[in-house]
Amino acid sequence: MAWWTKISKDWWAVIAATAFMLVVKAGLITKLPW
Amino acid sequence: MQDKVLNTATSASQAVLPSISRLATATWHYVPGIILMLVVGYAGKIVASYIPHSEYVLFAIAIGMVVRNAFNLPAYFAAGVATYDLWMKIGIVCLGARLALQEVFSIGGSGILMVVVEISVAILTAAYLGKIFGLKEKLASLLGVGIGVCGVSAIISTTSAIEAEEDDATYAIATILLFGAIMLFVYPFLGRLIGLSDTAFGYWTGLSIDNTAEAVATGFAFSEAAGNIATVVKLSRNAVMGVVVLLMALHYARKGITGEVQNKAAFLWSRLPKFLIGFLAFSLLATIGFITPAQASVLNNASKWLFMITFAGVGLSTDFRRLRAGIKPFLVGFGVETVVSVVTFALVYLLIP
Repeated sequence: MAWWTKISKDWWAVIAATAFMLVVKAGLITKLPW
Repeated sequence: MQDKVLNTATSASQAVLPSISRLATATWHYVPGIILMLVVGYAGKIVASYIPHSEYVLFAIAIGMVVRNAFNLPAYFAAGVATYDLWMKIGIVCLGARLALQEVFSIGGSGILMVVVEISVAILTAAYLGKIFGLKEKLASLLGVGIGVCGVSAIISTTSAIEAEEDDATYAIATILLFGAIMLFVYPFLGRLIGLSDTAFGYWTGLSIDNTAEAVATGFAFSEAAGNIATVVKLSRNAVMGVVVLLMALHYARKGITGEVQNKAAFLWSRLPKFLIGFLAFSLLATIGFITPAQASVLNNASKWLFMITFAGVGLSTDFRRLRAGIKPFLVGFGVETVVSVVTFALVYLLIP
């Protein structure tokens, strides 16, 4: 088994959202159109 | 000396490079399905922009269903489409930044009593109807837990806990997904017909639609406010999943059908959906002001894009041909779903303004 499969989908979701939040927090993305 | 440095560097790169190339190969495998979800979801968004008072949610799912059931979808799309719940979970964590913590607890708190009633009704109705239709007790239990708690993940974790058969789990999951897919279109119509408020509609959807992606989608198909409430109510059902699965495991253990549960705390922790922790953490960070309102609105829009992909994935995963596999579990499942839907509607109608 590869290492990235040892982390559950749920934790990957938390990691990805946190990384995105820190990018926003750092001011790298100030607006996102919808 | 130089040789030694060179050797160390080489062995390090030998360890890292294959890992990266394996990751690249593994990622490539998911790309076609993810692109398909983006295209289908965006098509839904475009169509909705031309039709006044319509939400993109239903179009994204409907186009996905048509693509899945009208064409023979090549197998190389399957892996990417199956990732839809990952995007949903990231979207739900981001959505946490939009909701104040006190709001989450007040919705979840008032919902929890209704959740207990709803789960009891689902499990008892499934056992009763299962007996009438002559279903195996374990299949009826799977249907009850799946319909009562939260669809797919509850069924999977109950299957292992009560040592049920894989086929039964597949049936139960297919039943729930199809019911949710049909109700996606029926609920918003009924809600408008009866004139439900955003709050009432959100509670009703969150309580009675079982697959998290479908519950979130149905809520947002009515309105954004209803979508937010449906998400929180649904998450409160997901949060109690461990307790219900544990009780079910203990029930079968007491009858001597399955082994004892050794460590109850570990059992509960292993069945707690971890993305809930992220959702609550984001809500807390927004409440204390670490995430500013402007940043929260960026995260909120990110969750909309992620939900767009998710809803396309839900449509692309809905296979109506599964209905041919066996009609009995579907009849029982739809019977239980209907009872739960009526009971939760009555609860919401009486308790929620």
